[in-house]
Amino acid sequence: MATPFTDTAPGGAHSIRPCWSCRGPAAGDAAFCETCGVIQPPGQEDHFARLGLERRFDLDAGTIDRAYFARQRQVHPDRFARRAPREAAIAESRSVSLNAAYQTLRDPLRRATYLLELAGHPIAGDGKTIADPELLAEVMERREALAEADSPEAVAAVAADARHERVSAEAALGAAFAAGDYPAARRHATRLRYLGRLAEEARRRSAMRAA
Amino acid sequence: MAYSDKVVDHYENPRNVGTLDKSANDVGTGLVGAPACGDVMKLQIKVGAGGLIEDAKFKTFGCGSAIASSSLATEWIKGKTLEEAASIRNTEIAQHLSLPPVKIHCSVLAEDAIKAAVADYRAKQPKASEAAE
Amino acid sequence: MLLQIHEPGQTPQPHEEAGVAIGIDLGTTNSVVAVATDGKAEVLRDADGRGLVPSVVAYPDTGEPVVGEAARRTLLDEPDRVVSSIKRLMGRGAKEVQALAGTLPYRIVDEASGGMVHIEVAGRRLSPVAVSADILRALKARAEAALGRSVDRAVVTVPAYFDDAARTATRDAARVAGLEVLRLVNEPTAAALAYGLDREAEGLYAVYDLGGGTFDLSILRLERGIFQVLATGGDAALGGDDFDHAVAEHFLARIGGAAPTAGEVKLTLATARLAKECLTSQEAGEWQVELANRRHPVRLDRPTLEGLIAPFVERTTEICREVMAEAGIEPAEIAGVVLVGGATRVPLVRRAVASAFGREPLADIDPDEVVALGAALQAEALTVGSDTLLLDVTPLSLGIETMGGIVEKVIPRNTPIPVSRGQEFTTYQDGQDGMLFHVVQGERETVDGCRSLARFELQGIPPMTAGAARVLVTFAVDADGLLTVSAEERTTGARQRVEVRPSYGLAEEEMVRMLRESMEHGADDMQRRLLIEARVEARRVLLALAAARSADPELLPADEGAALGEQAVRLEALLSGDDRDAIDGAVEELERRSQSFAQRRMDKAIRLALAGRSIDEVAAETPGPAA
Repeated sequence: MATPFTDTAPGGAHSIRPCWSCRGPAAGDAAFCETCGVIQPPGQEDHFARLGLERRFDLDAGTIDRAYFARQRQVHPDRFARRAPREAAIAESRSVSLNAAYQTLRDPLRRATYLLELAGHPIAGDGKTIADPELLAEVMERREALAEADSPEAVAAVAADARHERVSAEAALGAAFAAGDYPAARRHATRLRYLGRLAEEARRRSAMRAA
Repeated sequence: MAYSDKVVDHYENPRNVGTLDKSANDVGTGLVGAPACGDVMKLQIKVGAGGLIEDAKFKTFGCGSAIASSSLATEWIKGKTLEEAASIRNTEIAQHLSLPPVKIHCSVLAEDAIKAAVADYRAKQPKASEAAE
Repeated sequence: MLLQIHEPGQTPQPHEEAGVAIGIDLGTTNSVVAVATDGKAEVLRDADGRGLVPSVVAYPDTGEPVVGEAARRTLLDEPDRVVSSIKRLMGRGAKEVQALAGTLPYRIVDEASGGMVHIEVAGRRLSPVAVSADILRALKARAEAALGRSVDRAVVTVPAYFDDAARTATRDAARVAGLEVLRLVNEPTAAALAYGLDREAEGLYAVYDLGGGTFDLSILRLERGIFQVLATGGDAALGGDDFDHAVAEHFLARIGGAAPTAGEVKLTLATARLAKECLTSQEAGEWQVELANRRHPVRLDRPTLEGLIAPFVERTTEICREVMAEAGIEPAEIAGVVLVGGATRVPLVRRAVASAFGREPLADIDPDEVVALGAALQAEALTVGSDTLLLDVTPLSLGIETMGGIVEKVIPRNTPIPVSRGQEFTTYQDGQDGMLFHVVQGERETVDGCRSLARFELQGIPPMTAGAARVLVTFAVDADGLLTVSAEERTTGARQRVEVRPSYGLAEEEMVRMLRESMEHGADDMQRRLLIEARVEARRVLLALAAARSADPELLPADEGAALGEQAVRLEALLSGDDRDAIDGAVEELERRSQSFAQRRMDKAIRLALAGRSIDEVAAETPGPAA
């Protein structure tokens, strides 16, 4: 799948801010001033724009990795160890914002959570409860199966099942986003979160057994 | 500092863990979840002839505070009327267990589970009277 | 967002006048120093061709401490004067080393302040930082002798699983030894760098690093010069030393009799180490242990050795499984397993690694030297430049204690660094005007199970009802893996802010004293660094002005241009001198004089943008140097 890869963030081309070094105009969110070539502080763009990616759920890991690596190569503080201290500090802040973007977008569930936030359909946060009977009954059933699993094989079977379900839930999530159906996307994302929690618990169980 | 003794006690010796017959007409089931932390809580009540809650059971998958909150909730609602049970506030649970602020949401889960169980029981009742006719 | 802005004079030395930078593997048992030129790294050896410098220091009654092989030889005659395995105490408090007490062959002194432990050796009271500095000084001297010039900058490696306290202690030890640390690099990452560049490897690699006192397992993705750490785990108190102790205990138990003296324990440990090393190639052997002036023969065969060390080896493979599971990686996806650390020569370890990953591990680069080689490559990358890039992660979660002793994680482990993350906290009482913060590191949910890094208070919060204040606590971890925490009250206009760097409990005065003792010309060094920084800054300003002039020549009237040119020439001339104030003054003057030119350039860009033309089009029309 091809994803547009641009060096300036969408919309950034039309916003102008002064370059901190040559004090002339620098394009919105460009990493470097076109005039003097000096690194610029990170702007206010969203995580997709920071990585030069289209705002969509359907992004493959390789595309995100490549966009991230290409940008870290330019702005990582190690690249500025020989430059003026102010440039190194700015490089660090750019590297920080790239890492934040990468962490948010690389994991499908976090990417979905972020997209839902941007779209104004956030997943229930801290202190918020849900009462979706179908989903919760399924979660209850899987957690009970894990609790009752009395051999490493049985634990592994629950974990494998959860992994399998996550794959199909991700596909359903992608389809919901593609159709612009945010309530459905939110439901699938919530389910993914529960499945993730189940996998975590299964891992904890098998680690306990090993110890 | 660590969790309060009451939390630890309810966590290590949870009261009323179990399941009631979900399809029985005198049983109300509340199933709620907190997606943020991945907790899920099932709380059931069995209502006696006098309209008092004569039994309560729960099953919670979550952190210690969530388990303690639901354990305490089942203890409190036994012998109470539906109205009394539904009026229990999460703050009372949190206060009784001395839950730390970051765990307050666990008591919210318990409050919502009680309400959901009461609502489920009430929803069944018209059907029950129809069946009796 | 608050980022750690470098203090003047505290930054890595800019490239001007840059000398060579070395790579140092400061190990528990042995240390190695290496240097890289044109992407080829080389271990610096002594006259006998030995690359390993035993991390052992002997303290004679008079004169300088003796480090390395010579100190190890002293061990036999004067064991009470010798310190080894000091790395196990770096950044550690008394509570943490309780388990080690008795296994470490010197007296550990608890600090009343609750900070890092000290040790008592040959009538001296020493901090682990001071002992490590003695080792680093010897490595610096070796490098200077080998290279024939002075060396004052280094990349120093630390176990990936080292916490903030141990990292800070390591960096401070280097400072005391007169070495500026360009970067602290995690040992497995350094090993992967040396290995990956050598082999042009691509794909997922696991680095199994069993050193003398620490175990690390890191999983990295290698892709066209990028070394991305995906996950790391380990145990900062598990290593080859534990094998030696198990064997020594076995010997002592066999012999029986009265409790051995500290000196006898040291000698027995040396014998145990020798036995362990012999049994990597032979099946059995006999050695002698001297107790109460009597020699006792002791026998050991490989199956017995393996029985003694099996619990430690199992613990490492268990960590391997946990790290892979957490990263969601199956052993089959791993393209190769790199062995690091002398303890990986033990046949049982190799077998265990092979079975955990389902493949034979790679050990074609000397496991004792691979870390230093990687450090040297990174030192060259930072001073000369390179196409490779290390992307590392935080090894341990960082958090804040909240009410009830619960830890609220702010930065979870395995987060890519550098990272900065904020979290809001609020007051729990009406009118509360201060907030105490306790910064901890570790994976447990309660504070007791984590390591305490710092406590600080934010004062001057305007009185409000409980829960109304909004205090933003920001954790920033730099590329060295070092943490800075700041807190800021944001509800009212009055911003109250504090910033802390966790310290590891070495009293400030002690650090200052050590630095003063170690640096005869400390003040001069600082002046020199500030001068270099001023020059670098001046060059940046000159370059920026030149770029602006060639971008918008029409916006600069001739007389103004001439005046600017004059001032630029004046500044240029000052750069060859060493009057920092004059340079700074000339920079300020140049910036002042070019202010209106800069304003005209901004005005023009905004005018064009308002006219519906993008800055890109403007840039395309105006030839200028590319970014």
